Amino acid sequence: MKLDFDVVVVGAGVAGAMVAERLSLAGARVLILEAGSRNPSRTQMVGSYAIAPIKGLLHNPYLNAESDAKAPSPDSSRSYYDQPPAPHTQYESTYERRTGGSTWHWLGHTPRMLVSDFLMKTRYGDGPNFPPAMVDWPIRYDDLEPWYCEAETEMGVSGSDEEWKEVFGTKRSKPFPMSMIWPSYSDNWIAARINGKKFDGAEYLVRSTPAARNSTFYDGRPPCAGNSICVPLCPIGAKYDGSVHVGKALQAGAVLWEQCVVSKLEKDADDDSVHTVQFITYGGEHRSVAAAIVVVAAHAIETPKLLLMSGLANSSDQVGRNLMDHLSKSAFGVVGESLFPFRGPPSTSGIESFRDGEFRKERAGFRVSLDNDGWSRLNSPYAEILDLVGNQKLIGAELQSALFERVSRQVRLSCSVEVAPVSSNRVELSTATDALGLPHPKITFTPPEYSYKGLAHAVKTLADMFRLMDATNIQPIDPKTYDGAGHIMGTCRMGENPKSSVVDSDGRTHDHGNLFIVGSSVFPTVGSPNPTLTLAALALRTAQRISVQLGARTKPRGKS
Amino acid sequence: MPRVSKSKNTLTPAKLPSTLDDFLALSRVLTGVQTLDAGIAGQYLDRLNSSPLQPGLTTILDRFRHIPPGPAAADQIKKKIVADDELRPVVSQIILLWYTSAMRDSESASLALRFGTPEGYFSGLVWTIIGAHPPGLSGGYFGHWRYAPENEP
Amino acid sequence: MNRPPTINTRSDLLKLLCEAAELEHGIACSYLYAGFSLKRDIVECGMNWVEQQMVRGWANRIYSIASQEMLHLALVWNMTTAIGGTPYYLRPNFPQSSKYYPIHVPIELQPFGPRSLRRFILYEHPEDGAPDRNLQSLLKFGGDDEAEIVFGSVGELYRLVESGFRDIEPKKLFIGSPTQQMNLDLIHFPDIVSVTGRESAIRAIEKITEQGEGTARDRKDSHFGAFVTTLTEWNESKGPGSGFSPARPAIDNPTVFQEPGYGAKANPIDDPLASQVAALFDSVYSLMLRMLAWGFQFDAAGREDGLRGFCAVAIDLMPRVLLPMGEGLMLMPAGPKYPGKTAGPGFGLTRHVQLPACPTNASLLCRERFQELAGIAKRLAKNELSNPARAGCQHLEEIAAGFDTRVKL
Repeated sequence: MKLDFDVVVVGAGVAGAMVAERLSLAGARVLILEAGSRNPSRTQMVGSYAIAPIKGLLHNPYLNAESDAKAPSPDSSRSYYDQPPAPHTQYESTYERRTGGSTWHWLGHTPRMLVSDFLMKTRYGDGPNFPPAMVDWPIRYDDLEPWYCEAETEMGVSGSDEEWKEVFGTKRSKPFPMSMIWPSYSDNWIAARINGKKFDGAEYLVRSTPAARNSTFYDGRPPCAGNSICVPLCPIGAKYDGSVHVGKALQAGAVLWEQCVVSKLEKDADDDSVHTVQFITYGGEHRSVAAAIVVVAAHAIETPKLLLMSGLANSSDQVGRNLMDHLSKSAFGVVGESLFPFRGPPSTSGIESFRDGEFRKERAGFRVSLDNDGWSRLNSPYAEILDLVGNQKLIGAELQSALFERVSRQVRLSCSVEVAPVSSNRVELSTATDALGLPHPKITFTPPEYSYKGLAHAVKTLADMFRLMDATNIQPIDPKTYDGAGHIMGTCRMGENPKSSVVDSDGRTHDHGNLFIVGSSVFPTVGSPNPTLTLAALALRTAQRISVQLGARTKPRGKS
Repeated sequence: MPRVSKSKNTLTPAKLPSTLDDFLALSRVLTGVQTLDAGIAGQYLDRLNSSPLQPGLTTILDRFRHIPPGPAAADQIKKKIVADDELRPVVSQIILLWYTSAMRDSESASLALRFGTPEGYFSGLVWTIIGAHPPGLSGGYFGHWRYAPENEP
Repeated sequence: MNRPPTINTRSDLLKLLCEAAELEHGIACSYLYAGFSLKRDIVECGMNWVEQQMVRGWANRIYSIASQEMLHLALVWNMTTAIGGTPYYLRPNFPQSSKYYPIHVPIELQPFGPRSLRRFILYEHPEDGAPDRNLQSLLKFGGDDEAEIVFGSVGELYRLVESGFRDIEPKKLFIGSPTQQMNLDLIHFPDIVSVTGRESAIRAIEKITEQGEGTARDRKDSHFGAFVTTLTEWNESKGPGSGFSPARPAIDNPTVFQEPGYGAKANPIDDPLASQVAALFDSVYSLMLRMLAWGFQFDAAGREDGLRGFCAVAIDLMPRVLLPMGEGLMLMPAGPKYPGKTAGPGFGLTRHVQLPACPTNASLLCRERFQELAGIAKRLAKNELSNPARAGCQHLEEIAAGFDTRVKL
């Protein structure tokens, strides 16, 4: 068979773009196929944001009628997921299909997984209520650690070496590429009141959160200037997003075809190799390319969807299963002093103390974030203005004082709870189809009791934190409901046993020796950190394995 | 703008204030901010006049014109305009526009907002009042969020 | 001012560190002045919302770079106290003669624009070789009257400092107490290095040169690279008749000193109100410097809490008083002598005594001075000040009022 490329990468998000750059530098001819379109300039997108009616809507800067129809996503359409309606539990997290991917609108946090997160079964599996699908990873933290360091350098991560020297036995072999994002005024105020105090068997310790956000000039991008809209967009490129590596991949010689929706991967007739990638252009043309190696990097919903559409890589019956997220919850209160929200990144510090411990035999761990965006999720300051004028009849200087007093004391805290894998939480193919005739994803998702218990403890923790701050006007929280964290994971799990996993520890599908998967779909368990850094580390590691496998076909090119 | 000839025996001004001038003068009192941009004022006046609030706005400007300027004006505005339950939603909307450039959809039960131009959004006054900046615009420089704001009173 | 070719003695090294301190300090003031001049709000006119995004981006760059210069000054002070010296915070008033330092580029206070950006590029230019042809043509943009571009970089100075640290026997050299060294807790810079020996001294110098001029492999993330990018963007932004005017029309090198001979080439502000605000700025700036210098030489062993509060008050003055006052001055008229122009802070240093070694007396002198300055601020705030200047005055009163709660030395 004539091969058009050495490697085809499906998806121009962070994972796909990193793999594409590495392999191009190693001398491979690489094609990236991206379903979505390229975004307009950042300034244009800021303009869209400025006039968007719902500022919190992730998709506003990325609206594109053609892409929204031909490469729809849950960001572009609430009805894209085919899932049973309320009161059934919903899968709440979404993603973008654009060049650069969902990192366009991520917050940018990059904590690492903990040592325990790779060893859940071994360490905590002997409890009677321990989720049966909660397994060990086939690799250990130490296997991934050097790749974590590389991923941090590639993305440009800012963090405190001192604070992160060791967390639950998890250590670092290299310093952070940049020193930390400065904690906010309110972080320091809160830390002074809670550090050292105990709750639920652990001690509060506020740490600055490592982030792929520049604290100085790095990689030709400026330091963070506190534009405060990381979600949905960094106006100045201080926050890392996948377009950085798309640019690097192109510079290294990769080819990018956008608006090409991959519809099927085809197995060879004689063996298990997958060489042919079929795609549909926006104009409706059906085309295909052939490559020695195929890498699927389409995030954790579209990746299993593609494999299911193709009928590939699924002898384990795990493709699409074990869909996970983090359960996210916010708590809102008012404190007795001005803390000046709406400044800096939406979050700069967090608490790691509740992520690990013996309790994980029975319930999920969680991360806590201190947030700098006040009550914006409750429509502050818009609602406050209407209330103070409409109900309190204030105008002029009096209105200004009252507005300042009220808004500057509003605080948000939040938590992110580990979701355990459950086999029946899954992605399948819907009968509903999109404009190109491809199926929508059919989603079934109910968080396990293990995670609901974790959520209940997390909510109690946030309440305790408010108590220590003498907060008032605390908005009621229902511990049975949750928001999505935007962390879609688990649908092509990694494992040693081909009967119970989709990919091996290199990211290679068990069933097809030349078909690889990168991205958060390969996570067997998820811990409580944001997944991007971990998936980037895994992607770089997989790229190295692919490079070895390509071997004699390629000669390194070196950076241009 | 009609020219009125100056006569020795009257205090007629040479130029009648336009609706825009009145709107600006009123807005200064309502917002408590003195430097308001005339171009933005024009945008907001247009938006209000194309909304169901237009009759209320006309009444407000009428009453405002009858309030003599001076130190007692603010008090009169409170009594004659803000205290009026029928007019206060329009007052709220005028302030919301200057503070955030948003108009709320008065038909909707929930808080449905509509914004005008990016220029209006980035000229919103509330952000300085709370010691911050319009989300999307830089707050200054790396690290500034560690310290109390430079711009709150 | 001649530098010795090799650095063999403590006193030679201390002299160089003083020169480095002066330079970092003067250059930081120059960057701050340009930063203060950048417009912030669309209502100031001369920029639409798209241009505002760009101008705020430039302000971020300049202020972030100025903040790093302050880090460099802190590193120089740590190196100074580590070898037995005391932090040097004096510098010549502006404009500084180009003969004063071997870098041949005079340090001045000028608003943002191609003149100031050219200067900044030359301050940070790496030592290896003359500006390349692209840079040469970039630097000549604007038809500047400086015919020749001659420079000597700040990097050279640090090369000499490093050689001193390498050549002088460490046991003899590092006589400062390690507990004098300022760390992140006290000085807020995550990149601060406690200098306790040769290795940490060299690390401190590497931090300075890497941020300033970058490495031979990659200049784009250095101050040098950032200024080149900024000037390039400024060039590309101006269309004919564009009306784009990112900077306030501040005068160059303002001063509050009216007496001839003192700052003879500077421009005395002759609007009385602006002059008083500028004088207050100078007084606050001087107090801040003295407090920080005192904090750096104070051996805090056992009294970290007290020192932390003291330093926190001093550091607060920068973002909450000096920044808004500096910006605010550029919104106030410079005076009848300067039609259409606005004022600015002169960063003028006059005769003063350093704070005394004894912490109780140092606190007392600071408290008294804060009360005096708060009184002036209160009086000034009764006038028609620009909003940022007013905010700066109010914050000064607040900080003065909170002094005793925060400072317990």
